[in-house]
Amino acid sequence: MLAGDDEALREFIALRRGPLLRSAFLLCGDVHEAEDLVQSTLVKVVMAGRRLDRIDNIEAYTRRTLMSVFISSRRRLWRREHPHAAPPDHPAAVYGDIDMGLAVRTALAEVPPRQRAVLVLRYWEDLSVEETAQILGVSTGTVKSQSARGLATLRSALGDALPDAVDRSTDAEEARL
Amino acid sequence: MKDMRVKELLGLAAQGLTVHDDPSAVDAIMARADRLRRRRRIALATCSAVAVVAVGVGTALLPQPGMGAPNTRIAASELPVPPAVPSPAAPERTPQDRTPRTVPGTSPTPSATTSAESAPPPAPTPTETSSAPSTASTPATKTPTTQATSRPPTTKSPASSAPSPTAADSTTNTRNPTPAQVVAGRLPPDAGTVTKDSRATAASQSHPLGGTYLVTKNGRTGIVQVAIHDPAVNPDQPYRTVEDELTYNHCAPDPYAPPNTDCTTQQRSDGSVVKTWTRPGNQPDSESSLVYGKGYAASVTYPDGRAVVITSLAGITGSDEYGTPMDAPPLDKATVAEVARDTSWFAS
Repeated sequence: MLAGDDEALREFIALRRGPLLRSAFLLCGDVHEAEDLVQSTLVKVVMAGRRLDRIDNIEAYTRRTLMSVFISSRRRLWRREHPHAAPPDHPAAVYGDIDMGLAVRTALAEVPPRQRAVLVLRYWEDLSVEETAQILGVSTGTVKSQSARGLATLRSALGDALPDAVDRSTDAEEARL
Repeated sequence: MKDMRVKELLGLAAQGLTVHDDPSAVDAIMARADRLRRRRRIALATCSAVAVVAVGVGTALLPQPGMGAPNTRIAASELPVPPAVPSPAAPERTPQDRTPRTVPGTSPTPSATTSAESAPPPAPTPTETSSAPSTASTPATKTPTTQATSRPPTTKSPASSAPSPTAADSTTNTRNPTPAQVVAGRLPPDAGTVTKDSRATAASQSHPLGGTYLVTKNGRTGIVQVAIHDPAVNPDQPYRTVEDELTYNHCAPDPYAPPNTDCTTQQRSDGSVVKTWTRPGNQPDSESSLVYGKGYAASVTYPDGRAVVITSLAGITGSDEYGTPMDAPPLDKATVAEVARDTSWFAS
């Protein structure tokens, strides 16, 4: 589709940059870091150049690159996240959308990077277990287990933020909290 | 908010991000990719240039052919014995050839006599050989096993009493012994069957006895290398003086191979210098696929320019031509020194 076509690449970047930024923002929780992640990802896609001819699904390739860049960035010692013993500064008992968003971002920060990547791909990008497994290069079983653990961590981290809204279903596939 | 889906929660979290439709962002990404491409090209070109230079410099700095190999020149007193083009090694000795050293016994040089007087060589002397010709000259071929190894199929047994062409040949060989016969006569009786390696020709051109000899015993093949410089035989050949020999270090570190060890130097009362050293095993030849086994070497350099270097190697691997190597060199360190001290090498 892109096949090394510069204009097509530009069009693809312009089209996909926004959704990628949102996914990256959910992954890292920081606007500036999200922009860096997306730029690094798209630069890699552009650098792939002629290889793009052989890539069937440029979308999947871009997602895989974003996840790879994100997980790699978490491996760097100087950027390693330092989880707190207790979630800092939970929002008060009454939550509006903005507060809830902040609470979710705070809770997401406590989810390990790989589980966070699974949650974003599965529930934000609406990918299937198989697609998620393919992008992350893991088995479907791993996706399921990490999804369940990520949801559990998210549920636990949200805590009082969802006092009456928590569906304690243990079925991660239900994807309800 | 009951039963709130995860996607909705993530959507709320993503609301904290405002995405602007910034066309310059696309340009920035494309520009960054271009910069990276240029850097990659430069890095690739630099690496290629460095590789080309490294190959050129490495080729120029490669050791000279044969450097460090046991069959090549280490000191000027060691004559090169490079392996020639492989060819089937024909045994040069037959049981009928087990003869004493006739040539050395007939005309010892004056210098050899002088050396013998000042430092009697432990190896059999021509006088000893003539007193016991059948036992001291070719002891290595006396055992039935070594005879069978070295004997050509057409050769008859020496025990045959009937006159025959073979016996006549034997008589002829007794009068004109081959180098292998001469060398065998100077080795200990139990050394093994000696044949000359026809592939090594360089040293033979320098001296009739010089060259590589295969010593076969119990199905194993060891190596004895002989390098002789005799001004009487080859006056044009460069040689190393006693002073040079005293200063030359056979155990000097070699950047291309493991160094020799156990170097000893002895200056005798007649002015000659005896040096011994141990050669490391697993030493690859720089000109071929051959690998030389562990060995011992000894050199004797005389003030008048004569020199002999004897090297005893456990064997040579890397080619089927040299058979199965021995566990240890056919001559031990002391024996190598004794053989090297034999002044009759120069009477041939």
